Amino acid sequence: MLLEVKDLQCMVDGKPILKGINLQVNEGEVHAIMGPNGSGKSTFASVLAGNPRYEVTGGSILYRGEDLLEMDIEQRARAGLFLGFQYPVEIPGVSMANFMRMAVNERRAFLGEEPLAAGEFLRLMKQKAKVVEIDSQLTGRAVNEGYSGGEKKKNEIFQMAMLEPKLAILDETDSGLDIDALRIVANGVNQLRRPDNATIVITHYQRLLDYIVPDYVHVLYKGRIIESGDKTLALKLEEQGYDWLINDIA
Amino acid sequence: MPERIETRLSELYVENFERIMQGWPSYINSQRRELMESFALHCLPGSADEEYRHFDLQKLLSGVTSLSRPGPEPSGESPFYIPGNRSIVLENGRCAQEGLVRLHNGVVYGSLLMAAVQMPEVVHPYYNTSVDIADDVAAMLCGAFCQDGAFVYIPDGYGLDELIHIDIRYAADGSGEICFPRILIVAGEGASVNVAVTHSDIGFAPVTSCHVREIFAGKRAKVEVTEGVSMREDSILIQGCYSNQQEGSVSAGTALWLRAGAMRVNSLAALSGRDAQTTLYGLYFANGRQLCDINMKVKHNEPDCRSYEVIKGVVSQEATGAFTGMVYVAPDAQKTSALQQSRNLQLSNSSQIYTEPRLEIYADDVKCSHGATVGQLDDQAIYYMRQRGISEPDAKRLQLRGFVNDIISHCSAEQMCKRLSELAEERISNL
Repeated sequence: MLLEVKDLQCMVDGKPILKGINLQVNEGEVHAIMGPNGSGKSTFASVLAGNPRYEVTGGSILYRGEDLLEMDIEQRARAGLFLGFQYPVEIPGVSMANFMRMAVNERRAFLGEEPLAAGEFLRLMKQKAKVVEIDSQLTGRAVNEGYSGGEKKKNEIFQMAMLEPKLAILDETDSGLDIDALRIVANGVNQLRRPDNATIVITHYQRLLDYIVPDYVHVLYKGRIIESGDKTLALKLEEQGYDWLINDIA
Repeated sequence: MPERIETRLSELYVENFERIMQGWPSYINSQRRELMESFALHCLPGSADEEYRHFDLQKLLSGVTSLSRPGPEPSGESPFYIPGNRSIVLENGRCAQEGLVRLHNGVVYGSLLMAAVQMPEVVHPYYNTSVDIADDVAAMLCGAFCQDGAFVYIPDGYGLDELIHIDIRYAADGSGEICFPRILIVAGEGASVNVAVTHSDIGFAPVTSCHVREIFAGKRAKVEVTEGVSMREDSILIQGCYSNQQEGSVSAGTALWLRAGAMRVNSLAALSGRDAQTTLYGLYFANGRQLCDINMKVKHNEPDCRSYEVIKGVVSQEATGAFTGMVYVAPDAQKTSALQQSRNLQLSNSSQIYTEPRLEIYADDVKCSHGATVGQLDDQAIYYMRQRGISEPDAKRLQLRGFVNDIISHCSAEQMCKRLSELAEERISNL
């Protein structure tokens, strides 16, 4: 099993947000997490990534058999856990190439591979840029600086392609994308799908799931997963909203 | 009662005046007497003075006991040294090369003393004319005590593509030494020149350096200056940087102030002809208990001139950084465009930043803006980089490098730019 989350609880600024999440993800699977605003979706993604703002108060997470909560942010990343940010951060003065080269070489070091030489690295950048149809000029600029909303999201998937994670968590990658960009981003994600990796897609809308077809759909509400099903659950949510589920538990 | 430092400096002058004046023409030596007479009427500014409240000159100079002398042996290499460059090396204030280099196109560079003797027609009209002594007692002292310096002259209509490196080295072997290196650069009409000025400290003891640099850019001249400072952690550097630009001239400056126990920059850029432009990008680092105080004045004396200044500071541990900026726009200097920015990164709670951008505008059709920021490294950016597998120290270094490269990238002298990057990188690792 790739990821096993048991009874995960967490607080932000003293306020409980996650109240007992259980989730299992195997290699080769795509999971979608949906839910109304404020249900804790992004918090869950942040806790998996190790964002220090979130204080885990209970439960456990095993990632490839290891205690994820004991690992630093960068250790998790090097071990193949990738978070596609809802709001990618601009880093003025730091070029994409330098940033990515460092990141890729850290990942390679973890895998016991030699660091990439400059030439090899640039070839890899060029090749992976095609996955998300990202302008190669963009990769010569500072990280996310002056990128449009769509470019920032494409850039997240580009980084994912560079790092070849075992587990990618995409936090509302579809927000702020027009239809064309959405298709490009989704195609990128699909191209990166392999039998030995997995993806957790966090989204508000069923629309993305037309492109990235999930094996499982989970509904998060008030810090708990209240329903799980296959892709038809997403369609039902699109039609009927969340009320029927929420009323059920009420 | 301990001797007043002003008295000590006056005595130092009297004790050494034969040595100081030796070889210099009378038109310069006569200025020295006047300067010392007027110095006698002044007190060195201290923390009670508005302009020096962060940089107590009186206290900082109180350890001065002697003039530095040229070392018997070349004292090692400057970290800024790049083989193959045209260079003027000043060791403890003395030009290491004899004579002047005269190129076929009329370009002359070398010892200021030699130039004062051999080319009075060029030196005399400019030397010490841009320094407003009432404003700068340190410059006054440099005028009185200066024993040698560097001189660069580009005649009308000529340009020199290659960089001239003015490599100022200090090698004190006893404590309390003070040094007065000086630079005069004259670029004629339509002339262009690219100069690097570096200060490096390779001695066994701290030094105090009181440096004055005068640059004159004729009509449509183009002057680029890259500056680097790497001093001991207990050395003091006081710089008076004066430039005067005529119509249509362009000056571009990039400065990387890596290290000094205490450093003060008094910069005055006078735009004295229409359509002149000056840009300056500068960055300093200060850690430990180091002090860096940057004072920048731009005078828009004529219409249609542009000035653009970005000064950045990075302070950590218990260091102090200060910036005072002044953009002055004269009553007739319409269509002035001026921008002044002070950007600071504070890496520790006990470091201090003081920043004070000022505008003084007497014309009504101008575009002037100024701004100041003091911030920390961006936690979100560090989190983002760590999520990609980059360690926390590396993420911080990357971010700092970004902050720094933004300044260094403006240096057009390729090799020097690369060297500055390397030195900045080293500095970032040791902050």
